[in-house]
Amino acid sequence: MDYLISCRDLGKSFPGCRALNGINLELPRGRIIGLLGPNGSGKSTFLKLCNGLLTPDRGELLVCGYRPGVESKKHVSYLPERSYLNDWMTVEQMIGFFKDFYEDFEEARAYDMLARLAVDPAKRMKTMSKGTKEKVQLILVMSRRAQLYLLDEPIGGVDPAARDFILSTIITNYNPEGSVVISTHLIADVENILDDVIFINNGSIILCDSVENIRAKQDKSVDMLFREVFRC
Amino acid sequence: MAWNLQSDRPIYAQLVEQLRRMIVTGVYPAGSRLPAVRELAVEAAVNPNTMQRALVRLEEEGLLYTQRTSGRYVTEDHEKIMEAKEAMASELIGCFIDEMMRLGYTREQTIQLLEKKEVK
Amino acid sequence: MLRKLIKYEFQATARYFLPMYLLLLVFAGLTHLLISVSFSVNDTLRTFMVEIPSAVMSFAYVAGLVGVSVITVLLIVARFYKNLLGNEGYLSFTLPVTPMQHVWGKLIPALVWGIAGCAVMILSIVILAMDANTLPYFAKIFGSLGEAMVREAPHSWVLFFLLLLLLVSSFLHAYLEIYAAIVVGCQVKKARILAGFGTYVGFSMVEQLIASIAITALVLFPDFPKNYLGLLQYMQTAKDAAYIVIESMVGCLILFNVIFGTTYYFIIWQLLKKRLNLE
Repeated sequence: MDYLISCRDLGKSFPGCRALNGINLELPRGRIIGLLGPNGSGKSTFLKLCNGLLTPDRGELLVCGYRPGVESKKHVSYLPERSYLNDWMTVEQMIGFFKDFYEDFEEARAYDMLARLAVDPAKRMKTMSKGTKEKVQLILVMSRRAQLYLLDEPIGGVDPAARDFILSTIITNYNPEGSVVISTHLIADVENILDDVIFINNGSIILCDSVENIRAKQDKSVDMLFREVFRC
Repeated sequence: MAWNLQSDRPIYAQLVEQLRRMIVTGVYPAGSRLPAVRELAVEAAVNPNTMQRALVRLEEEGLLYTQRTSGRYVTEDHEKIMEAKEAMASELIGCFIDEMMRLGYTREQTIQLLEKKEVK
Repeated sequence: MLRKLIKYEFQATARYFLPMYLLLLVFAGLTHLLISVSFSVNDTLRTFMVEIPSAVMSFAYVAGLVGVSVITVLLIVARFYKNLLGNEGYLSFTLPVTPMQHVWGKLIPALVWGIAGCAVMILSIVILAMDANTLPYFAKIFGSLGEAMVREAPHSWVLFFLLLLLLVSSFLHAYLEIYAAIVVGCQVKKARILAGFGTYVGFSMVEQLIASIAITALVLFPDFPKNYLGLLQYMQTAKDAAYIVIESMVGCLILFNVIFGTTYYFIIWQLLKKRLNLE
């Protein structure tokens, strides 16, 4: 299990659109990786494939050494771009739920983060604002000692204070033996915390390098490079 | 101490510079213990691996040392810190003189101007 | 893991089912009360005052009976669709659980609620009808039923278990048909609910077609029923023969449920395994 994700010629189409176009990729351990691309470039599709929420049309995909399934899901912590929590459950109940199903869930850490956010664990999800819900979801996801964290647009549409909270929560809590993949189109906001970046466009990977390499070689930030590459 | 990172240079190099500055200005005094890598990374909002590399670089320079069990410390060797400080000063002065010469001032004129300048 | 899934499914559904059952029983009790009061008053005005509410209440009770069945089906559809194939599916399908464990995790609680619903409806009828006058009749009915069970053993027990099996298999068959229709409906991108509904109608039509073909085949090829009836001649008494006929009819219905239930199970399994595509 050298690579947390390895895929060969991975392809996925939807009726009327090719979402992923034969992707080859290997993601090592101990890295924070940015999956960067404009909207509709295939970022979410890739993450959903890794979680077994979509089934690939062709190619091979191994996550933590397994095809997406029960074994891989034990080791992957996924934050989707939407709210997936039951409205009627309290935060406490959600924590119980995660603890029940994920062996690597660390309850104490979750409560600790909630306290720092001043969220009352007895509160029901439906009484919370959208922003708070998103943060609670992130807390649940980051409270696991997972091998791989797949975070889909964790900072999409949040205010700068919330963004700082989210980024510091990620840095503070991820398992250093594992890796984090952050998909986003807001590169400037995340580039300082990334080891590596993957540029994806129209379902193909067009660049895969470390942030420091890009800055050293090109004398510009990843954000600027991104704007050049994806200029309309 | 706020971290101030520019977007067009490698983050690693900027972290090395800013950490060195913090050591020579006494934000982290000689012999004091540094926060853990993750804490520093969160504070600077950077990748922990990059912060780690920067700290290792400063260890190689002799400004930091690691005690296996208890963490990372600033060196107690004051001379070493002074050396680093002087190196920074000399680099700064070098840049300054270069700029002044580019403006057409001679070395002597520059020194005169410097002496006239009131320090607030 | 299945145990945990079932636990959470009960947690999520009990908050609808239990109040609903309670409400039906309260309706039955109120109806009973109003009807018995309306019988006992003579005064025209008071009759008027009591009769209208009792009529309204009776109507509400009947609506409640229908409502419980309809809402049960709706809840079972909604839970499956929302929790597995809607937004909540993003959590459900990232749990370290196989797709079919999810299906069982929905199916078993649904079965329990279905049977509980039947029981509550029967109980509500008992509440409605039971009073000092009718109590002896109830006692008599249950008493003679018990006697008959003992007298007719072991046939009575075989029949009892066959009917129980029929109940369970009918529920499983019905739910699996609904689930399969939902999963098939989700294969299209738009108008999923409509597609699911269409699939359900399609499934039902296919079932009826196959059932009528089977019956026609029995008529066209009378060897089997003839041999079967010939077998009955060897039965010692006419009663034994009658039991055999009833038991084999129930058995056929169970077989029907098992065959179609298994088919739907297979459809759900293959689609969730090979073509799960959440949007």
